[in-house]
Amino acid sequence: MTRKITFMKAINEAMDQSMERDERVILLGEDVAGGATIEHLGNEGAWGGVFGVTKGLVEKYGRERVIDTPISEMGYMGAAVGAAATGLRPVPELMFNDFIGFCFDTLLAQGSKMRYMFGGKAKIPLTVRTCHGAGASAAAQHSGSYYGLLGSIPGIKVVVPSNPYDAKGLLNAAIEDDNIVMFFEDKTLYGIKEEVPEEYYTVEIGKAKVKKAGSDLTIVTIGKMLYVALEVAEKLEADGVDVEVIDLVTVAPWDQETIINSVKKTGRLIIIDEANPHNNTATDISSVVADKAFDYLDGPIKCICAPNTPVPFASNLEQLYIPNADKVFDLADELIADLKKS
Amino acid sequence: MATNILMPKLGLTMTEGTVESWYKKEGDAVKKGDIVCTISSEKLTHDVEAPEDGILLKIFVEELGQIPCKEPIGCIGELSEKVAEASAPAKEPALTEGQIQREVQVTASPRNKEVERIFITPIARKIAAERGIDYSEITGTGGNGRITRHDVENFVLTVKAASAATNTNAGQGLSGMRKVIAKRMHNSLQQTAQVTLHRKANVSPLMTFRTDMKAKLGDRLSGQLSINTLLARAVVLALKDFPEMNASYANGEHVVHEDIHIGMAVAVDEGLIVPVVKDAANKTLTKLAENITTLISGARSHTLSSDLLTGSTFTISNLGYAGIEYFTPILNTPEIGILGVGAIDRKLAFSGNKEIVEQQELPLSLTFDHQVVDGALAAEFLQCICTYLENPYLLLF
Amino acid sequence: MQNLDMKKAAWIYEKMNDIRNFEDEVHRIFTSGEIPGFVHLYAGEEAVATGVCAHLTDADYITSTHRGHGHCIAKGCDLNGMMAEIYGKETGLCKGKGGSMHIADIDKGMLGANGMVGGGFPIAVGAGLRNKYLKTDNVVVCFFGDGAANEGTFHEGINLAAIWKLPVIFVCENNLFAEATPQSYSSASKTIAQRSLAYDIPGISVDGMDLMEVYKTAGEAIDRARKGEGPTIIECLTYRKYGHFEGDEQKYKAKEGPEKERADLDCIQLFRKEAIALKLLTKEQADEIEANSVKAIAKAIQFAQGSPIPRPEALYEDVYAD
Repeated sequence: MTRKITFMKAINEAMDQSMERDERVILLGEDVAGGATIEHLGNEGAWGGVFGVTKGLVEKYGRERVIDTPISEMGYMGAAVGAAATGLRPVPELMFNDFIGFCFDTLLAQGSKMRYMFGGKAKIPLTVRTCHGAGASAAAQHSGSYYGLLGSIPGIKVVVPSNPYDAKGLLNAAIEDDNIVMFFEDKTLYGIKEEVPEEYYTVEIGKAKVKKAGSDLTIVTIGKMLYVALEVAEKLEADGVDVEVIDLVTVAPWDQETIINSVKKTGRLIIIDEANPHNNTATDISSVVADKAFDYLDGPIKCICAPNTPVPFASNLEQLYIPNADKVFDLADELIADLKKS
Repeated sequence: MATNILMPKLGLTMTEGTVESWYKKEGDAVKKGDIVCTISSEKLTHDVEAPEDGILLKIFVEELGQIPCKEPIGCIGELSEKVAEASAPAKEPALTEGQIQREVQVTASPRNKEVERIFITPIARKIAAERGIDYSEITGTGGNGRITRHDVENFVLTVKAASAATNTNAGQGLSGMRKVIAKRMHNSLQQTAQVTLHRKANVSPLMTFRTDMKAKLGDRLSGQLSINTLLARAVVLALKDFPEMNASYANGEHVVHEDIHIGMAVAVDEGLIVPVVKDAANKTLTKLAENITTLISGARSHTLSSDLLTGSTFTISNLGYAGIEYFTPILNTPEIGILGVGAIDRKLAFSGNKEIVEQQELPLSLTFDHQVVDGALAAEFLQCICTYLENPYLLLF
Repeated sequence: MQNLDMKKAAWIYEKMNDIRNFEDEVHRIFTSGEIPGFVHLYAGEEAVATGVCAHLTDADYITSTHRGHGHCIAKGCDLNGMMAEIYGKETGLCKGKGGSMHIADIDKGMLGANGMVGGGFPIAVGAGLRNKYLKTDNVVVCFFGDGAANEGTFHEGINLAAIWKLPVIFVCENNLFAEATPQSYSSASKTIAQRSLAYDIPGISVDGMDLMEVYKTAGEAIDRARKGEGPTIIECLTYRKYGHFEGDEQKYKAKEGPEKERADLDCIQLFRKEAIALKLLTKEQADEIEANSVKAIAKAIQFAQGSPIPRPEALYEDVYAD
């Protein structure tokens, strides 16, 4: 049955169903339940995650499976790697992706390389949930978007859902996956509501989604940037420009086939990525497309990204920081102007 | 003082040239006489030599860029020298506001270069190449004025619509000499009113004459006394008799030339070139023979200097070697006459005293521009050529 | 804890000899250039790996360090596969893709030597979490050096193991030097064991040259862990026979005094003497073990030398699990 639930609830539901299906699935992180060992709480969580994404799970599955950790990202992330290597399917939560520095070694040098270093003997079925994104006035250390950083590491998969349906299906797929999957949740999307099936389902990792077919111009987006692209597409439709909008869904390994086929059709590509502008997913897509679809390009590839600055606190500055439709029209004008039929 | 490399003027009619390719790049050391680039005019391609030793300081005209003759296309000098000094045309007198003038000129060069560079997207370039479209004719509507896929596709549609009427894009999709030939041939048919007359000359006496001459002159004849030589001589004599045929007409200008320069069309691997026998009226048969032999071998080995490839006033095109009988040669504009020569044919004919004899006949085709010459005059001119061929002793004087 | 009987003693003596011979040979071969990269040799510290691993089964896990050959052998890894791995051959334990610093054999409970100093703490904690979660009585031994004790992972890992009472035994091989810097300089606490106070867990310092002492202490700690009584820190004072890595001039080592006296101890000879005295080994048995060990290592070298290098396609394999 399908009903409307929020992005947050969709993620919660995926964890719930995955834990129900597989006893090896455990959650751990800072206050994923909250109030561990507080006698009067018992199995009742104090928080259920700092945003409440894991709410209700400790009550259902107990503190053995919904484990509050000390503020020890290096310790519990490494433990999650160790537990995954020895047969569990841990789902640690890194409260904000900006904290990656604390636990980077456990993913960069340990988890991601273990299978390779051990000649294929290890499996690391680990799903790291984390949140990212500017727009919540959380300032520089709680607002970055670092999926590209993780996506550049062999052995790690990275998904960035843009909507509740994908969030649930992707998280289920991530937990089923025998590899490290970084699951990025845009904190500003937590409240959006959409129809989501009640039953368990998965969304394929590694497959981009064509959200709107078009023939004149391809816009590839990551996460929340999908909505910017849809706005651009709608505005251009009035001018007779037929935009194809593709939600990348998976940042690593990203879906070259879908994007290259689209560019072969339209000849024009804009990529919208909320990450900082250098060495990010957009530049990677741009370089691969320039290489593999060069003869089909009908203009320069435009990467619309955040500026090369940390995320500012002041709301007006933060809004300037996040790519939006105006920015697309401004920076990609030379790619759009001549398409307008009017 | 840096020295400019100029776009050469190769012949009377050349007004501008195209830089086809640079063999040196900016900063390269060059020696006087080194070939620095190839240019092409409508008629030919030509290697340009460095005018002195030095460094190629600046390239003013990029590849495929066009510029009038005698304008600088690059400059050579010492590293420390300022390019601006060389690029500012020396003949330009300093004006009162000379300072400003100079600055304008200095910046003008690169701007021209930008204008000449064509921006085109990869897909548009690919489609243009596939369809044989010369995209230099297309106006780009994309960002930075670049030509997009739509521009090429629209262009194709427009051309299709207009193709029946006038095709203004002769040579598109071709390059180098082929492109030059295509444009010239196309223009020739577009801009003249060509009529071709055919008739044959009885060359039996000429062939006997030739055999005798060769036998008797032997070593003194350094060049081969070929049909081409004899033909050229006959044409020269006929042109003396009919100066109206030694003329050019183009761009509203009709000129009857005093000197006779005969172009001899020669097929080479890349196409067709027309080396020129200069001042053919003042050359004896022997000199003519020598000259033609040198020219033809020079043409085939690409060693002719460019001035020997321009300036003809009348052209001969011989397809006899391939057994061709008559054909309709296309005028080598702005000339108004061209003589096509076929293969000698042996026929049985009645002689003056009604005996059957073997006769050698040479098919001739004269194309003339009816804009400036009428059929009667052209016919008489052709007949005159035949008279000289049929009475070979006349060729000696 | 299983008492040290004749069978166990023979096993220990065999593994000690295997480690020493393996490392002596690697030391010899390394200078010939046959072995690529760099190697960190375990020779001299045999009593620690064997004394601890004597209590473990294949179902127990260990995490290791970049000085990991000894742990590997003591945990039962195949000598041929190990030598081939160090040679970078396709028949290596990790198909030649790990090398000396990443030798691992999960089937044997060996979670890998580790190129990152201190990298093993959280992984051991994770394996311990798994053991506890699955309600097994298996334990995890986290070997680490005195250098790793100053990494942040030491604190986070041991703190987590302590608050969750995980079956993890943190075994410090204090060989006095982290690379070329003495432990006395690097660590504010005099011993590593005393840091256990901070986590409110047992911490014991033992003579790592004395197999009997290591065996007994480890046995007790492992027993407690199996019973769910949580982690222990065991600090074994030991000494490495060779440098930090091959090619180390070892200028920092003392020429005389207590350090030199420690350096001159040989834990294998000490154990042989004591075991024979206690009638846990016969002299003949010991001689035979020694001779067999030399043969086994020679065979391993032959195996490695004769093995093929990895197929080029192997470069792309094993990045992701299908």
